[in-house]
Amino acid sequence: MTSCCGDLEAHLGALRQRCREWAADLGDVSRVLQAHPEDASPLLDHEGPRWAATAGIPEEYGAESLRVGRHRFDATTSVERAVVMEEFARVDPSLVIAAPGPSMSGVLVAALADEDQRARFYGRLLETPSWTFFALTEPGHGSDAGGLETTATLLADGEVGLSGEKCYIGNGSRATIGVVFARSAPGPLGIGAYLVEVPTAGLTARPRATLGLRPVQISELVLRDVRIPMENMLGRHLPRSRRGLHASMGVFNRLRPGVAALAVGIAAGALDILEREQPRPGKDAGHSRAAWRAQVEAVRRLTLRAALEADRTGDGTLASVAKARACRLAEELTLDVADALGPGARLAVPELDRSLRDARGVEFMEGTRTIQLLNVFHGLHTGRLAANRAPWTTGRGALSTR
Amino acid sequence: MALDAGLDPIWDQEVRRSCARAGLQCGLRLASHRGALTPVNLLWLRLGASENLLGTTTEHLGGRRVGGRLLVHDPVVRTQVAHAVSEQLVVEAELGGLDGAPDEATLARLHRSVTDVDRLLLRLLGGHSFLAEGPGADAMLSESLRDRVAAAGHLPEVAP
Repeated sequence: MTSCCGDLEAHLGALRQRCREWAADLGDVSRVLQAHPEDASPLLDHEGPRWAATAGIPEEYGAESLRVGRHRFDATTSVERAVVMEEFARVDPSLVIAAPGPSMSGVLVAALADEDQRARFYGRLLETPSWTFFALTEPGHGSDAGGLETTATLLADGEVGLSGEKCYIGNGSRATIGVVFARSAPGPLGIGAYLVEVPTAGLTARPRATLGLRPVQISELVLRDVRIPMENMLGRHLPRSRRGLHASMGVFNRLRPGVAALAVGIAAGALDILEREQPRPGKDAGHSRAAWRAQVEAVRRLTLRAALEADRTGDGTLASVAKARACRLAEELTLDVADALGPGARLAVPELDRSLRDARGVEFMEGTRTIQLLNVFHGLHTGRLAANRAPWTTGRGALSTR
Repeated sequence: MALDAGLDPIWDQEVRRSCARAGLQCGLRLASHRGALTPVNLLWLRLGASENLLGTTTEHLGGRRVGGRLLVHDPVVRTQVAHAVSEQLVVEAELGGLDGAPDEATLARLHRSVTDVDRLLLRLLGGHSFLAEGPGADAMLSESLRDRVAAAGHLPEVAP
């Protein structure tokens, strides 16, 4: 966060309002992206996605912060990213996930990279709007990052050779720079993250047709002896214990509230569709809507609390609570809205059909519900959840979202 | 088992078995030949497709390892599969016990039950179920059948 003025509520409120205004103008772009998911360039014609192209890059590297009144934003914090992601996802999550920018790789670079690596990564994104990829997941392993098989081999000439396969990589087929996780030795400390610029010999990317989030172009990456300089190993200046998979977990903790926020945005967007399609509900339906609105507001507050906690401590237990609960809310509420609008609504309201599909997609980002709930139990068992519970009892305060 | 009045009494069982054995596309083809599509038949069709998805899911879980252990041996996974089966059996029991045509609210509730079971199974299948050519495609088609029939008045045409 570049400025806070001692008033987090006003700070986040200003960001939310600006993002809401931007997103409100992107309905047509959403329809274009759905019709032509292979081409995300129409996003660049609009101010919000253009800002996203450098959001997350600190000012000292040349990025221009967003200014709204007395507030400045650079989206380097989980809580700012959560607000941005929710407001865009309320119209269409692909508007932010398929946008160019540092995205997940940017958070990893901020945490692990040395000065030269940061300058190169950020410089590339500041030079021209660029898509990035974050290549962790592999076929057959899913959420089990410990089973990672992609190899990083030190070659005779001092370069590193990367070989393996990655799957479910967002923007993988359009990205020009990204991070590949690979193993140089057995065990979690043997896993490292490497900056890879594209095109490069030996790396091919193929988008897969998906049931939702189509503009994200979820892709398979195949690496066959991809040669990169040793200088591209992120955190090369750090001891192994601070640059491997364990170190990356802290990054995932800070990314997770953003995924929860995407799900909150999908749920809120489903209510927007319901109110637009059926502006005068009957008495019983009115009660349901009030309950649904209350649920969205509660999970939104939980998500923001989790983001603040991730920023403050790096712990991701609350983020797991938020992610699991928000994804459940998005799935249930989109189905509830389809039920409320009655048979035929999915075909008559394309945005509803898209929301129903997209709600399934966020479930698989950054660990499924089961993985998150196991994290929550672990947090409860180790006392981390109890340590994080005290702030829940505070009033609306900084988390006001109206 | 009480069926909708005037229907071929084997319609539901035959189509459902076809779905459970060979997937929704096969069930749809058979259903279009059998005719007599009623709201209750549509639910039998979807239940058969859901049973097929259950088979796909257990097969997937039986071949996938996390941390060296087969997923199907994980107690958390087992309870979720058991929950899915239980819900399918409840839907089957309610459909089997129907006396006459159910009202819209009952139909909506039963469709939602089948959808919720399918969504649970899709989560167990992981990201694979989000691919257009994976098992999620049949589940999404099943989920939208009621909307398609409401809009067109008949089942969607499927490739031969």
